[in-house]
Amino acid sequence: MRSWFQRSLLVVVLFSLMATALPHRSTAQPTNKQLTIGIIQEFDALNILISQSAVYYYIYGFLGRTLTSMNADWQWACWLCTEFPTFKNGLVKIIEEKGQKKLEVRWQIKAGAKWGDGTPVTGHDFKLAWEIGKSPNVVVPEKDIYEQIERVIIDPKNPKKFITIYKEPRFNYYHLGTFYLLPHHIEAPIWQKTKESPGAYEKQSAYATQPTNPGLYHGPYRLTEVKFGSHVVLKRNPHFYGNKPKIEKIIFKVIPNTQTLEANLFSGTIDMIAEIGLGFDIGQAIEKRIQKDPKLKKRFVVQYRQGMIYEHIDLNLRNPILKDLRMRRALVHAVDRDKMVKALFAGKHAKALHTIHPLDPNYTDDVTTYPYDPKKAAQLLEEAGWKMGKQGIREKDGKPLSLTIMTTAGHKSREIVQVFLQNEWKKVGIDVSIKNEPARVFFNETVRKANFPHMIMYAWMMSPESIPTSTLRSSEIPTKENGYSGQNYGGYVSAASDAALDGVLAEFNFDKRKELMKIVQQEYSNNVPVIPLYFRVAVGVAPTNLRGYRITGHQFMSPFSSENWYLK
Amino acid sequence: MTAYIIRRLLQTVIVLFALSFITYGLMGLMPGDPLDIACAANPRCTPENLDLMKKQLGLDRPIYERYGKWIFAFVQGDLGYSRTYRQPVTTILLPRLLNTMILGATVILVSLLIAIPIGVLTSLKANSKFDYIVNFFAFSGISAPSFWLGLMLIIVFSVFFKWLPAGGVETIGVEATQGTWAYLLDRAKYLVLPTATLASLTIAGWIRYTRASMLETMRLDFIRTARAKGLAWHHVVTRHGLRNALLPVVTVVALEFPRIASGAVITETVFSYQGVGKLMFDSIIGNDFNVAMCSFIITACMVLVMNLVADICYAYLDPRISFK
Amino acid sequence: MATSTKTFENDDFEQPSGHVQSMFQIVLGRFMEHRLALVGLFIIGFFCLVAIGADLIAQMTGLDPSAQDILSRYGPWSRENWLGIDEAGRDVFIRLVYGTRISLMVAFVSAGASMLIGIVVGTVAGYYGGFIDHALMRLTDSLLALPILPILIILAAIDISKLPLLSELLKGEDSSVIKMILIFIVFSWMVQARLVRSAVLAIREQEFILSAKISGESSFGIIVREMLPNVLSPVIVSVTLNVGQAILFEAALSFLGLGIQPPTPSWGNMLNNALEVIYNAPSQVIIPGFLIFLVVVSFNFLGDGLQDALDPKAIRR
Repeated sequence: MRSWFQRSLLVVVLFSLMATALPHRSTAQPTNKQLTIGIIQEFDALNILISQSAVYYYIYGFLGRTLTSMNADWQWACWLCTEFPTFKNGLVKIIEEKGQKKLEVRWQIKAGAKWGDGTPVTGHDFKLAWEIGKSPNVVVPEKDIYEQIERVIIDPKNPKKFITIYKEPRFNYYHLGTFYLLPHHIEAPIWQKTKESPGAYEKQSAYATQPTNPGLYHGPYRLTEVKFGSHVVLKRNPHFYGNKPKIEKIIFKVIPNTQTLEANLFSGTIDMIAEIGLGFDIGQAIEKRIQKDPKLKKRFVVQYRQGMIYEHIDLNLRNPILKDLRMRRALVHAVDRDKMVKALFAGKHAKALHTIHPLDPNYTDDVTTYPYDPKKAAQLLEEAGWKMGKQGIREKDGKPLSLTIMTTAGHKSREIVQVFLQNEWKKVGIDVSIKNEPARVFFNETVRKANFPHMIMYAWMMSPESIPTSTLRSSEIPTKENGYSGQNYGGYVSAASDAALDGVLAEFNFDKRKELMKIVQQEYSNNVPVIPLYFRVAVGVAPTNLRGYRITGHQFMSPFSSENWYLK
Repeated sequence: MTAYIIRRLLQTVIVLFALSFITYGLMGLMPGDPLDIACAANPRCTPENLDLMKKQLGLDRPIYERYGKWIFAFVQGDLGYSRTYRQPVTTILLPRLLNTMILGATVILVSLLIAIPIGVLTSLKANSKFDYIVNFFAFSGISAPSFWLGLMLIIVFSVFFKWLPAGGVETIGVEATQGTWAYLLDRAKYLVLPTATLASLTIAGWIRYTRASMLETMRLDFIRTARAKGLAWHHVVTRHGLRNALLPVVTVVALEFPRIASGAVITETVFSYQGVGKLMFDSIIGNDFNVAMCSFIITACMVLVMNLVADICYAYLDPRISFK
Repeated sequence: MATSTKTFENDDFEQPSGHVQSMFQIVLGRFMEHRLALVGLFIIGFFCLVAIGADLIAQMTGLDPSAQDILSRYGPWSRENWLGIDEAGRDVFIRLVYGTRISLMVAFVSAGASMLIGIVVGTVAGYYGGFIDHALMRLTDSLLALPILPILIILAAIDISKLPLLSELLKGEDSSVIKMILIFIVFSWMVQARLVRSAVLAIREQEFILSAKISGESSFGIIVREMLPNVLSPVIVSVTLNVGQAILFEAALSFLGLGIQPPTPSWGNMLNNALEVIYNAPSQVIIPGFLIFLVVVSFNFLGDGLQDALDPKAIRR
């Protein structure tokens, strides 16, 4: 007995000895040798066309490029292309074929652009991606970007030159944000074998079977090691066409728990936290902690940049209570959104006026606004026939004014905002109850089928110069008859807005386009189909000695300039 | 005996089939799909495209048809592909399983080595100071929420003292650069905190069970008889007392397996340890049927076999239980 | 709720005829000897009072668990807000008070119900043996073999309120509480059942059961009068553990975002909500964590004391 006890004691002692004998982990600043980045979400498939995880879009910023992109100053520019095609330089033309207007765009890929094994990047790579992307046998999140192109013609003499024919004239032909290229010399044979059977390509793709093949990547880095759910290792790509990347090795580490992520940062296991998927609250908590501790302040800096994620509340316009415009306006007037942004989000999130982002070229503030005015709200409610009842809740025909607000359960910021809204509305006599659902139930059942009593709170991920047709046009109201197609969940109908939206896409004159978009924004503000809340800010944590790193706030995230990152 | 084991094994297989069907059905009942979330925020991902994507994944087919297809392939040894990672299930599952096995085995070993001797000692010295102190720590061990304990350990040992890594399975690239011995040491380093977190629970529980059971046994008549016969005290304790007292403990140890294999979700999340519990959680949330069912069946299998082992141990330890 | 432990003792010990009083006194006397158990009982009693009197406390202090002052989020301890202010600008103290109510209710109801189920299943299986035993034990094994957390994840995702019987129960903001209780009940009786069964198996062939059978007692009588008192001690140990476990489980599920849903406060989700500010407002993590710890420890001590007091073999001696 005694000896058992002694033995187990020995184990404990050994364990603790081992723990104490371990080497001291260094918390020195990272150098150009290696940068370890913590990510909170997992990445899925490594084939960028197929991947659906936002984190992999971030990682892919190190691995590949698109034809065009938007830089950190929100300007469109060439990436793989040599010259940005416009009407002015004659690279864009409206053509007519069999009585139909189409758009012809000429592209040329940079001479130095090569895949990681030295094979040049050509129009064939573009064409292959287009074929795969539009195939009904391949699952791709944004099909429209491939389907908008009718055909691709490659210059037989110089495969770096090619022409794309768009099915119809559209001003945003250069929006090729998720149109990535695939290596023709590796993927074409695989595609030939698998294109007939659904779901086969994604399993056979070289990205799945030999992910460390250098020929698969043409960005400043290429992937050298991958363990799903755990990490990826990237190393410099010697064949990259641009500036030589300064950091030798980049490691992405998946840490799905925020507290552990924080601990990893402070203990020096990771050097920075990517701005993708990092919640605002965590960013704030880390910043507070850094501010308190001078040692940490020397090591880390928290960066913010206005983002494109639009948090809002869709109102169910089919509901008899919310059908009344006065009611909807009262709801907005009753909420002090400035206070909300200031108190809950340290003033970092930007209060939203309507669906268009202030940095978007089409933005206008020449619209009806609804400042915080509880008296006005009360007055509007009185006009609508809602009289103050006994327990501070308004009534009409003996029925209390009771609304339900729904959102995704477990989304901290939204839950806090909900409580705030609930209190604000209570002050003007509106009783609001909270009913949250798990995200997949919420989006599949409640949002998609527009099956909610009054209000749903969620976000749209906007992109610059986007046209909100799918969310605002009256033809996009999902119903059982149309198989729940469309994203106009609240049931917003405005003839003026519809007409303006129809004209925007084929309007190549920027000023005229802006005029049309102004109508859309004004109608939106007049009719209040939606309560605009705020645009989320993007947060990232970086080491203080990292230079060249800048959060962009839009879909082309900071790694898309990763060749310019260096550690001082 | 052999017939008994065979019959039990057959029953186990039937139970497994039933369980797999129920779980598949339950998973199928979950409304929506992660695609809904991925697509929900993106106005360029149209509902039509969403439906097409679901169709390609076979989500539009009725659940029994999908189950039939899956079980048919599964029985033939075709585990299929992970929907999330586009990799064969075995490629994803095996390393995770190994990690969990390593963690589980370490936890059980450490717990047994600590819990049973201490449990027996406390029972022999019941109501002594030693008993009280052990009792107090044992109670504290079971009473702290595991994720909380894990985080506290991280804060103390990783953030303040910087002795141990805050999470992960291994330092990336150690094996390639520093050899096998360094690799093993590195793995051990990453195991310490998760093991401590999980073991604190099991140790505390097992000490209590051992103590309670031992106390009960030592009061029985046959122990008194044995002592009256003049047998040596340690002989009475180990041969007569412990052997009988371990009966309920065996059950509890066997039942600990599901906790470690699947219940380690929390610990594995806190320490971002790449185990099968976390994988199962993620694959269920991700509607990754092939991976979820496979890891599920492995865990369930382990539990059922452990139950069988517990019953056989029972029979071995307690001759009064007969097999019929 | 405060009296539940007492009724528990009465119910089970009124049955053996003749010396009810003396037996109860012995039990009580032995229980009083266990100081830690007494402390535990006192602490549990205190929290039960808090849970029952939550509304009264709210009235007396003039605090409202859902009133919000967002300009003072994460406010420090003060005269008005004794334990500070949480992430949504609400008073932490009064939310803890209401959290006590929810956490204890979930734990008590689910542990009580699972104990009843466990005892019934375990004794029936162990006593009758044969086919019934097989069927029940396969069911127990199957449920035990289910990896519980993944199943809970699935159950949390399924909209169980669509089931006809539950639709009435699962209405309003507290539906997640009822859901949690139901799920805990379904998945926590198995260990007791197995323990009871093995205890019954162990005594089934002992002399006093045989003599009872020979003297013509009914099966029900044998189970209730002869077997139950003999299998109670392991069950009580595991049930007290279960009450604690339910509280811990709720906290764990909250950690995964599947527990009791905000804005309803529980210790688990308050602890989880504050985790993000663990370095900046540590008290908001420490206090709910400590309350969980304190109550769970108390239950464990109580169980220990009860075990010492109720051990039937010790009493018969």
